Parts: sequence; structure tokens; C-alpha cells
Amino acid sequence: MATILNFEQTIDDRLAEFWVDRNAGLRHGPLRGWVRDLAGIAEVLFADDLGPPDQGRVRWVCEQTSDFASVVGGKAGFVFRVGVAATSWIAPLLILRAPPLRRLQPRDRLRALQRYEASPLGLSLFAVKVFLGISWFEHPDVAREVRFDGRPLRERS
Amino acid sequence: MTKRGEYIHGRELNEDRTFDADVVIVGSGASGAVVAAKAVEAGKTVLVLEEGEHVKPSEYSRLRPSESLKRMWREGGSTAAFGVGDTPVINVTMGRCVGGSSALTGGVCFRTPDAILDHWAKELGLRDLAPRRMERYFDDVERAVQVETVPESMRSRSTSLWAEGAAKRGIEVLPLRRNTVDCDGHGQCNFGCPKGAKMSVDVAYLPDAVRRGARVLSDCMVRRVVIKGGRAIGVEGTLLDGARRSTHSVTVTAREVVLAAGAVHTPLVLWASGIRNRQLGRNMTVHPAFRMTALFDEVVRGWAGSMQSAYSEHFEDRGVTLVSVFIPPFAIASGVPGVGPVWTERVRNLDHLAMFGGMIHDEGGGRVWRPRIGREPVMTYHMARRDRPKVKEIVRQLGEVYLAAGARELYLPILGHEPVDADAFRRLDLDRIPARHFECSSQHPLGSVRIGTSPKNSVVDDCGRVWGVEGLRVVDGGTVPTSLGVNPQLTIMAMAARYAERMLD
Repeated sequence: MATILNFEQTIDDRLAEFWVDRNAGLRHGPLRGWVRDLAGIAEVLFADDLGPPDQGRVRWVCEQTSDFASVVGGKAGFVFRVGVAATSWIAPLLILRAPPLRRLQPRDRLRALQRYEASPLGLSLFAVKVFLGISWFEHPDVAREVRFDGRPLRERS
Repeated sequence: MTKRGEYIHGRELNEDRTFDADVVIVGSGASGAVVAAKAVEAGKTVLVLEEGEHVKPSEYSRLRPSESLKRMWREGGSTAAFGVGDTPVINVTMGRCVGGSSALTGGVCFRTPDAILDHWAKELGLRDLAPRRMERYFDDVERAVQVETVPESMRSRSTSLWAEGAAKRGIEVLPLRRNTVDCDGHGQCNFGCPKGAKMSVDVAYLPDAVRRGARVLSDCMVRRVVIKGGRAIGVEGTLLDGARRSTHSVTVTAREVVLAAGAVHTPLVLWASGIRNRQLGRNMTVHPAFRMTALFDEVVRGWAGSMQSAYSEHFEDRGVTLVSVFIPPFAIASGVPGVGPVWTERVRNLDHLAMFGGMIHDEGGGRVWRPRIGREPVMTYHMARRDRPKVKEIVRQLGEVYLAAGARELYLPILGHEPVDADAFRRLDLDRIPARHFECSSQHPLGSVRIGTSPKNSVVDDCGRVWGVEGLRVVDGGTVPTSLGVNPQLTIMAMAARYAERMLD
């Protein structure tokens, strides 16, 4: 795979600083614990040829997903967190790098996730994609990007 | 004392509560709602207990999918049956809301095939379930939920493309029947119809039952049936708040206790009530289902149209039914292989993607286990050796048909597998790929509390009565004795109507 992401920081570097949501006028602290691992995955998963998605968007989707995982119930939430942990700690080993994933440079993270997805453990990345995707694809900007208009077949005035 | 005939939101109650009713029904889905309506019509006082929230149908149009998943689906739609042996992990989706899974189905309505009913009557000794005897129950529920044939004009382009490919390969595609009235084709049936066109039981049965006096208590999780001297005399449970935490206790006394919590959760209530039966939790069938996504050069907009509108029984003799389906963007995207720029590029073609599905008429192998930790049961599924080739058959047929329709690329339901063009697809040796690598889902758990002729081969008798306990019945999909090969909604409702009639006789 020839793709090289044009950003060079680890997710820890990128999210460690306090971040100001100008739209909401809120000041957030750094992401904690497993949600930071999730951000390390999300940033690379949703990256395109132009680079990573906007940091605010990454943060937003991780917080939404974390909320979703806590609301849907103990077992499902637990299985999801295990999926995040497995992806974060096993994927780097497949490219002979030390975990966790979030500490790797983006191009290594991408390589690790590609290798991981094709491995027998890819099911856990699939689960992470589902959970992250639930909120990600609801964002109006993303819906526009993937050209999902949600309009019915028969539109009535 | 609560008034008769109303919806009661358990999360709004702030003290322990006791209720009395002629009939208490645990679960408000396809079976519970039918029994409630029949019982109240017969003049009984009825209380329906629902673990999930009461989301009014008028609210569905305002729910984003993530909100629907959180509020109406069990475990946010992420419940899984763990594969044993060469078996995929199966995402088994279920409703947890007033209306149950009925509020979240694609609305597909099949009568139980005559061959299946004949098998039950002749081979399993359930003579009262013979086709001729079941006919009037099907007539009855079909009238109530207004089953209609989906016109070709309501097919999404995704389905039409598959039908075009099928025609080229000599495969007959038939229109589905659904419980919808004046559907506009929003393609969002799975999240509660935004237009109110789907006649799920929270629209077709419960409002009428409530008007006639039934009470529906939502946010109430039943823990056990109270049994004294071999007779069920009520249930005990707990109210839940918005975060699903227990708040206050609920005690119900009743002359008849009816369990309609579904094939996965009714066994839990029975175990907690002291019912011991070797068949309980076993024999579960799920109709393992697989989807194929295809990339076309033309704009497809597969979401615009009836979410499910056509099917093919061409491969019925091979134990496979192919059914049209289209799922929301996040679910499609997660099945698209790749990460990073490659994945985002593929997902940007969402409006060029078409989708069709297939399900296996399975032999069983599913099992519900009592949870050691937490409230939710554990499910396992061991796919029968005979069913494994059917997985490949579904993928083969779905792919060939889309290629015949002009698909440029196929996204196979194989975890991590790169997309394939026609040549690569035909070179692919599907038989060498283990079944456990396939992406699988199910919306049809059945059979864990099956009916039969003796406590040795079943949990309930042919009237739904739990063997050895007076006044306790099971009426949900758990009682369906074998796999159906078709969507079970109508079967569950018709069987529930029959159970209700027996109970009220």
C-alpha cells in the first residue's frame, strides 16, 4: 500500500494539549484512558489523502462513541472496549513495533491497522469500525462527503 | 392505584409498585402485543411489562440512528452469538422498546411455509399447527397489521439492479409482502418508520389494546415468575431509570402469566423462576444472514426505496433464501474493507453501492446460557456441518447476480477481504475460506423454548403452557420448534394469536 499520511505526530502529541471548541465555547481536557486509544485508531481510520480529519471531529466522534458504549449496556460496552484494547495493543506487534498503537507515527499506525484487519483478529477492528461509524456517518459534513442525502424514494410536498 | 388503559413510563415512577391483573404479559413485541389485544378484547384486565423505553411512533422521525440504537435496540444492536467451531460470530439484533423487534424490522411478512407446518404436524406431532388449522390465525394477524405486496415501483435501485441481474441468470425474483401502508421508501424501517407507514405492533395492536383498557408499563425488567404450589401467581421485577439502573421494585399478581420476552430472554426468566428443563435455552435457530455489497458506475442511492421489497426462493432446495435489504451508511461502511485513505475513498462511493442479502434455513445449533455476570445472557451458535456450504452458496449467487447486472466491484462479506472484480471473484475458491471468517448477522432468534409433545423434547406444550406449571405460558418466537427459512414475524404473531385463543377458551 503506497499511501503515506502527511502528518507526523503521534495521537498523544496531537491530543495532549488542551483543546478549545470554539463553536461550543468549551474548554476540554485531554482524552483519558481507552478513549485515547480509540482516538489513535479513529485518526488513522478516517484519514483521507489530504491527511487526518479535523482534530475537533476526532475528539467529537470519540466522545460520542464512548458515550454510546456506556449507554448500550455492560456486555456490549465491555466487548467494544476489549476490541479497542486488542486493536491498540496487538496491531503494532504485527509490524514489529511496540504498542500501544497511539504512540506510533501515523504511517506506522496505518500499516499496523491494515495488517491487523487482514489477520484472524480483524473482527475486533470490524467492531471498532462499526461503533465509531455510528456517530461518524451521522455528522452532516460526513453525510455530504459520502453523498448520503437520506431522501426517500417518493417525496411529497 | 393506576388508571386502567394507559401507557405508564416506569422511569417516572418514584416508589415501589404493586399491580393486579387477570393477565400479565412480559414483553410488548410481536407476540406479547397480540396476546394483550386478544385478552383485553375478551374482557380480561391486562398488564404488559416492557423492559425497554416507550418511544412513541410519532418520535421515530426525529431519531438519528444512533439515538434509535441507544433507546430502542438491545445493547445498541451489538448483541452477538459467539461462534463455536467453524462458525462466524453472529450479530443478533433485537428490540428493547415498546413494540419490541417489531418496531425495528424491515416489515417483511411471510406465512410459515406449508411444508414446515406439515413437518410440525406430521413429524413432531403438533397436529394443531397443520396448514389448514393455522390459516385463520394468519388471516387474522395479516388483517390487523395490513399486509400488502410491495409494488415494483417501490423497489430501490439497489434491488432493481439485483433483479435485472437475476433475470439475466434465469432467477425468479418475487415481490415481498410487508406490513406497511402508503410507504414512501425512506429505507429506515430498522430505526422505526419515520413516516408511521409500518404497522408494527406498537402501531397496529397496542394502541387499540390500551384504548380498551390494557396498561403498558415500560422500563420494567421482570426478574422472575412467582410460582406457588405448582401455579404461577404473578411476577416480580424492577423499574429502570434512563441509565438502565434499577430504581424500585414491581410486584404483580395475576391469574395468568404470559412470557413474551423473546427467544433469548424468556429462558432467563424461566431459569430465574426455578424452571428446570433440559431443552430450555437449547435448539435455537437464527437464520444466519449474509450481505453482499456491489459497486456500480451508475448512481444507485440504495437507501431510497422500501428497505426490503423483493426476494428469491430459487435456491430454496439448497436451504437458502435471498432477500433484498439496504442498511444505513455506518453499517455499510464498516463492512467495506480497508482503513485510512483507501477506506474513506471507497466509502465516498456510498451512493454507487447496491446491496442484497441471503439467509440460511439453518438446522440449529444455537444456545442461550444463563449469565454468570450481568443481566444479559450469553449466546453461542455452532453452525451445522451441512449449513456451512450454504454460506458460500449465498455469496456465490449474490455476487454472480450483481456481476450480471454490471457491478464493477464486489465487497464480499468476508472480514478484511479486498474488493474483487469479476475475474478475481470467479478465481476465488470460496470453499477454502472458513465459515468463521464471514460477516454474519441475524434478526431471527427462534426455538429456545420450543413447543412439543412431552417435557422430554420441549419446554412448553402445544398451547404454550410450561410443562409442570399451571398458569404460565410462553408465546414468543422461542416456542417455534424448527427453523422456518423465512422471516418469522407473521409466524410469531399467528402462533401468539392461537396461544391467546387457547388461554382464553
